[in-house]
Amino acid sequence: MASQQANLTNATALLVDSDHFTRGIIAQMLRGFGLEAPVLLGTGKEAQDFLLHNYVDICIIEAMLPDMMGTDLVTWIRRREASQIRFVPIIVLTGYTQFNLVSEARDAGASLVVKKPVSAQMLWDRIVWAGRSNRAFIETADYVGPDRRFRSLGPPNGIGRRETDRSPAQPVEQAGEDHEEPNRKKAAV
Amino acid sequence: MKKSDAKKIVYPKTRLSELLEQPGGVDRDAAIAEATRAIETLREDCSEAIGQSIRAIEDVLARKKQGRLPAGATREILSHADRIVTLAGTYGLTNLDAVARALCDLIAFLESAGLNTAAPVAVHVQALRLVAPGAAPLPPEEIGHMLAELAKVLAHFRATNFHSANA
Repeated sequence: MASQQANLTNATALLVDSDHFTRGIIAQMLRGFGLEAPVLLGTGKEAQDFLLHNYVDICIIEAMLPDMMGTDLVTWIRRREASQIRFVPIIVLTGYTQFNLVSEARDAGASLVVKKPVSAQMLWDRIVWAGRSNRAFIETADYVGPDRRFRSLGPPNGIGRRETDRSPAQPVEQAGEDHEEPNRKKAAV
Repeated sequence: MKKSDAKKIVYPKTRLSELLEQPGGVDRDAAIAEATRAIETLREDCSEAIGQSIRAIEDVLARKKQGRLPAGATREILSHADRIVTLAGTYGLTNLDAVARALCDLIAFLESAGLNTAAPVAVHVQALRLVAPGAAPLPPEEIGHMLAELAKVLAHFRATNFHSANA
């Protein structure tokens, strides 16, 4: 089991959210975790200007910024080939009705997507997990970011083999689903 | 292999992973308790912000013409309602959170169906007022009744505009 202790005292964070109150709440949480001075910005352009000359240890970005989509900012960070910043853990915050942005954020290269409101427990656990997980970082023409299939499910247990799951002799409604190992249905998002 | 199929896999060591393991860290529960205490200092400001957001939605509603919301109004209302959900959820204002979510669901439906009817929005905003910080507390059965009625409003619009929402 991972240690319940973590040291965020010397870590730096960038929080980009257009809402003044959301910024305030999350900044207070980060301070409570020990981060001295999180950088708080309201637009994607401000964030880009800041990141051109600065490194941070974690980025927390609203999914829909006033001047660009948060996912565009994530893509911009992930494609900065000459800079270490492209590997930074990025948490994207979506609003209550923005569930359609979850897959967009994931495909842009976000490390994690979290729906607002964010609780202190949720934020601590996500930051620590993002720091400690040793996810592969994938670079292709279409995608740059952490591996989107990051849970280790182990090898198949022999039940529900692909060859026989839906053989032509077997009616579709009787095949597959019920034989599948339960934890394999929960493939990573 | 085509150039577009090229894939590179690396396992970068981030600075965060090193910092987390430095000596002098804090226990998870202690960190969360401290963060919870820190956000409590903003409770009053956030209560005011909730009031401002409700007023902002009322201002948008006041611009209605012949029972119709002006262009772009649903986006504007949604951003304020979303903020109320965030603030209410953060500070455990469960009744306000439930009503604000109901408003978000309604607006999302109106948008998807291309509707701009103001009346159902107005009902939800009146309900927000009843459960906003500073309002006289309502008995739980009243709250339950109110939420059930709001759910009926959305159900009615869904039933009567099913085809336009799925067009």
